[in-house]
Amino acid sequence: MTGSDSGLVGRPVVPPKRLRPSIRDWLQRNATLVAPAVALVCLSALFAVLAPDTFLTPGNIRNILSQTSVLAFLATGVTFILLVGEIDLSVANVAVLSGVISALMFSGIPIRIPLVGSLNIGANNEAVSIAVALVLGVVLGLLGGALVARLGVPSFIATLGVMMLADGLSYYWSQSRIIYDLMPMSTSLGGTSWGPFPAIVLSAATVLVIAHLVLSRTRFGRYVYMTGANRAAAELAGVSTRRVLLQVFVVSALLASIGGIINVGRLGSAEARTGSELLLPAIAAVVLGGTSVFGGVGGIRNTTLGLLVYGVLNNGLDQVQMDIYLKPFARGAFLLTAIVFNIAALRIASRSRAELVRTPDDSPARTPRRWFGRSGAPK
Amino acid sequence: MMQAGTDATSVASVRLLDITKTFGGVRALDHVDFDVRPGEIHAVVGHNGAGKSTLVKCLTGAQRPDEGRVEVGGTAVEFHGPADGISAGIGVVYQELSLFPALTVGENVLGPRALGSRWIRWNEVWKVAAEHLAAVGLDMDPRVPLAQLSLGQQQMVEIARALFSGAKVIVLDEPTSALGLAETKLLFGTLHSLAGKGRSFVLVSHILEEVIENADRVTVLRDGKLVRTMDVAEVTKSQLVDLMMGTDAKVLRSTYEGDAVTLPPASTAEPILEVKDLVAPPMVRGVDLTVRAGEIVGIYGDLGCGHIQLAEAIFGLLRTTGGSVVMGDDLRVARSPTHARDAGLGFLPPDRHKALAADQPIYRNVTLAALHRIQGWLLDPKAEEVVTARLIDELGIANATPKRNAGQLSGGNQQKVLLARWLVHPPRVLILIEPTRGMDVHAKSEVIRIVQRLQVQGVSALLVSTEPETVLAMAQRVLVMHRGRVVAEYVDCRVDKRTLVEAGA
Repeated sequence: MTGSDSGLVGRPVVPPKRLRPSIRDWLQRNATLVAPAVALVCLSALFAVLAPDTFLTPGNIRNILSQTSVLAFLATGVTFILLVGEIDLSVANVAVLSGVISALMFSGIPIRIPLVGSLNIGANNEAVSIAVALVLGVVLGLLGGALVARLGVPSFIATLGVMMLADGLSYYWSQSRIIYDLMPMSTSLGGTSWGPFPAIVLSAATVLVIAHLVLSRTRFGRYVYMTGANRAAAELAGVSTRRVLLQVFVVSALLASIGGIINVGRLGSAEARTGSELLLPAIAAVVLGGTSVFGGVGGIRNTTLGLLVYGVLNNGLDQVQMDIYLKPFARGAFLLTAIVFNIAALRIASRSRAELVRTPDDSPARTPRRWFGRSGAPK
Repeated sequence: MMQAGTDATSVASVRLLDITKTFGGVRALDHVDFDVRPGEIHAVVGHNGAGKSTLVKCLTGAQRPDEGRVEVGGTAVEFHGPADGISAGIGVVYQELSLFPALTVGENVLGPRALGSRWIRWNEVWKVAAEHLAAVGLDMDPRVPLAQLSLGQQQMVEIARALFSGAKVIVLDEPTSALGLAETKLLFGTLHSLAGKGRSFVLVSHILEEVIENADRVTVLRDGKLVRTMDVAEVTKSQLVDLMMGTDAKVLRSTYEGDAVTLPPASTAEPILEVKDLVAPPMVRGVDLTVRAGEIVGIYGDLGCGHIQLAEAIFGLLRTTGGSVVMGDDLRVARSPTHARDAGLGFLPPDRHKALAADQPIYRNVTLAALHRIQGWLLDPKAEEVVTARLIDELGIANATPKRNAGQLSGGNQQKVLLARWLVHPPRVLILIEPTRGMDVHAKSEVIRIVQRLQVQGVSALLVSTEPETVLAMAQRVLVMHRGRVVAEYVDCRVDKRTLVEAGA
């Protein structure tokens, strides 16, 4: 090798053209994943110190994962919705409705339908009960999606309406009854363990993996990202953004329905009253993971981290000595702090890209600052 | 310079003296004088980039001049914002109306001033509004929602609002581009009657007949410089075109005559896209055109002539109310962009930001329109990156790798990414709107080269532009649009920029 030195004499020394391939660089570009990961580690460390005997035990970790699992079904659907830049407020109530109606049908309680009479099918028939619950979820998803995609109703309003419908149906059909006669499918998925892992954790993980593959490896997933990134651009390229919108609302409702059916198994009973409080945690978990509410940025990896952060936060607060009435405040304070970090991360991520590709031929184009508002406003 | 006091007619209502305004090294206005007399309609004409809008902005206070001064009624003033302009008696009616469609006509006329005192006296509001509406020839109930009015009527409401706010000089920016003939007539009737009562108007317009018929004086701007201000009675349309083009300078004359292009004889290839009597209100008023196989058809027209809306209507972005678009057997009038794309149309919009997902990698932007053609429902991003890398290479997109975000590229390179989008699976007809606007000469010639290469591959193109040189550089057949219709067609002949500009004015 030394002999070749002489051959290079007189040639300009050209440094290898590399774009700073360092760890720091990697961290910057993946800042939206790094931020929630750091939050997860810090928070876990904090609670491990504050509650050394209870927090980091295998039993408690299993607990955290189980507690988070139902949320995972809802949060996965919400991820699809936020990625297109919309919101779905109906997920928790659609979940409750699906849990309630499947339990009602399975236990042979007739479903009353005004003007038609009552429907009594699927008693002791799991397949029919589940199918009806899922179909009902899909119908509600189609309703919300159609209002948004076809009529242009803001998703906040459309899904608020669907949320009320689902809530109303749960109460009307159950008549506030608590049903303990649950489907074996619900109880086995919601309440048993497969080996060391609770079944509900495994099913949530499966859903997350499938959703990740759908979003990152299918045409539909790509359309979701592009529609959220710039709806007008997607439309001008011939993507039917209305169809994409309709589809994500159906996906969200379907996942909520599945989550609802499993959740009754975890709780041991089906009731119209419990479950609707999961809405805000589901949205919070997605946002905590770093998925942008303006669409196009984020994904299931983010949501997985966000779910873990939320789970650790909730569980950890229960383990420390603190006025229980101060806990919601502590949760809120932490959520806000984490969101601020996420915003900083988004900024770092887009700035690092700008630095890497500064164009010499003319001025570098600026990245829109999405977190302050929608860029590329739809027509 | 200080002749205001000695002016025989009267003191000017507003006067700009020796105004210079620079934006990032470009002189938008270069030592320009401009004045508006009481009771006159003063037109401002010039091509895109001549400095018309900067002049208007200096006049209304939206921009502060770097040099020179502004006088209102003979005294020097300094505007710090549009509010200062309004309080000095200068109102503006913008191209895009700035009214509140959800409010009533009356509330729109009075604007925020309706809420001036602690309590709103509605009877007073309706009475005052009705008076001002009557002044612009609108006899109507001010309690009607504004959204129920036609575009022309809304423009009158804007003028009424300017009158109410005490405007003595009202600037109208392209007021008639979206109006029908009857409404245009009505508008100018109102302007003349108000001018008779001492109000002045500054009319910024591309439509020269309109200027000659209605204005008292006309100011011609070119490249930020004042060419001349003269009485309209002294000029003809053709002289105005000369002044706008700069034919008085011999050097320029030789340049533009050198730009003359010989268009080939009419193509006899089979028609691919046939548009028949297409109507898309308010801008497209019945257009016929045919694009044949392997042909680049150019449509030249000024801003507001409706050619951009025509292109949007063909691609399914605008609702049409009449006529037909036929592409083989696949497409009658496109219901949506998806429908248009699947029938074999491609579309490059005038606004890059609208078509580019800046926060997404280049490869996702490039493959977006043809994803369903090159891949199944399961994606293979590696294959997408290969396709993208090849196109980056072929089109010479600088500083690009497939995974880099599209927003990080320069404007010209972003445009190439958008062109690459339609090269992945070439359409039968590619609609290009202002494909080279705002680019330097090098980037322009590269875009032209890409389009010509597409043509060799058998892709036809419909090229829509407000720049005559762009149309001449690419098209084999040139149509000129004016007020929503095709008014001239050039094929098998020699044409130059001037011919097109005059036909479209």
